Amino acid sequence: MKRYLPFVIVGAVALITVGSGVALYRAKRTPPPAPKKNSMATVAEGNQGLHARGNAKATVTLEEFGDFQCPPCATMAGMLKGIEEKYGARLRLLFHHFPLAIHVHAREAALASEAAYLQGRFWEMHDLLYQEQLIWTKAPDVPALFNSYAARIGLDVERFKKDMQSPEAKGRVAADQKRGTARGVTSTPTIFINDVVVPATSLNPTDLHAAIDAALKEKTAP
Amino acid sequence: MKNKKERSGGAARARAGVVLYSVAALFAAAGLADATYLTVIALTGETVACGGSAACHEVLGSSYARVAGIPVAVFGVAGYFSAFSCAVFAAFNYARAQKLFAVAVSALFAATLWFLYVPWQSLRALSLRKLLPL
Repeated sequence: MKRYLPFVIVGAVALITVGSGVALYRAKRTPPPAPKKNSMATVAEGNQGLHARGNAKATVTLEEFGDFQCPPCATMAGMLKGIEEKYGARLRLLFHHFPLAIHVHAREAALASEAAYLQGRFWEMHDLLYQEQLIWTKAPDVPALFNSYAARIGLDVERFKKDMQSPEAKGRVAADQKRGTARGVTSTPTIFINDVVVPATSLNPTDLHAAIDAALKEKTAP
Repeated sequence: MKNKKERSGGAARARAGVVLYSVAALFAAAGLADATYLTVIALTGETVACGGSAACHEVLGSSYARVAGIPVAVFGVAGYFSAFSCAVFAAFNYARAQKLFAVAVSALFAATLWFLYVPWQSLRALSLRKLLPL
């Protein structure tokens, strides 16, 4: 029996290593996208897909023109999460790209989110880019990090790399920028609530809540 | 009399060897667990392992982090598993395992020196880039 004991120990450790590795891999890997209704979709409006989150028939639509490399936009992303939770089905959030030229990786990040959109995971990439902003903005190899983010949210990485360079992704980012410029956007984040721009000085939770409440009141008033 | 002393000395050495190889096997098992975790992190593309450290990302994102597209942690798993297996067999007095264990430990030691050099080199490059923005 003693003769076989080292084989048993080594075999058991090999099995434990492989088993725990596979279990950990499954736990860490984000599940593939499930079809969703309304809650986190990119909706077709006219011929252009807009990135919308929340109830399509919500009373209030909050639009953000954002830049993934802008620090206040990352703060705003956290703030908007709280606002979405508070207002629930009464609020719909729209996101438009407005990458500023001063941010060297902002356009690349916008393209990454569009490449994620082409696989149905725009919002997951949007959230991750803001969450990890401090990291990728300082990284020397930003595309490699974006690829790792794509893998993390369960995208087909090879397709993601191609989509990032696709005319479709570039066209969508450019269209958003054009839309922003036409609406007078010059800085990020710029927020519109039911098509009314929120002054930059009011981009704080208190004033945003007040603006949303006012928009709700206005819409629900007889 | 002398024979008895030699026999007891040999038994003590054998016991010490068993203890030594058992301890080595435990360390190798810990290394194996760590390398397995790092492999999973590399394969899932997770970044939280760095705890938000840009310097850590500098190293993980460098060309040294993969060899022929394979995360270096995979080689760590192979190395630690080899060391563990050899230590276990050596503890059971398999003569060839003792030699192979020495080879495995030497390879792991060389790899450790290499991985101490890599972050230093990467961070030095990062510092130079910061000092000399081009």
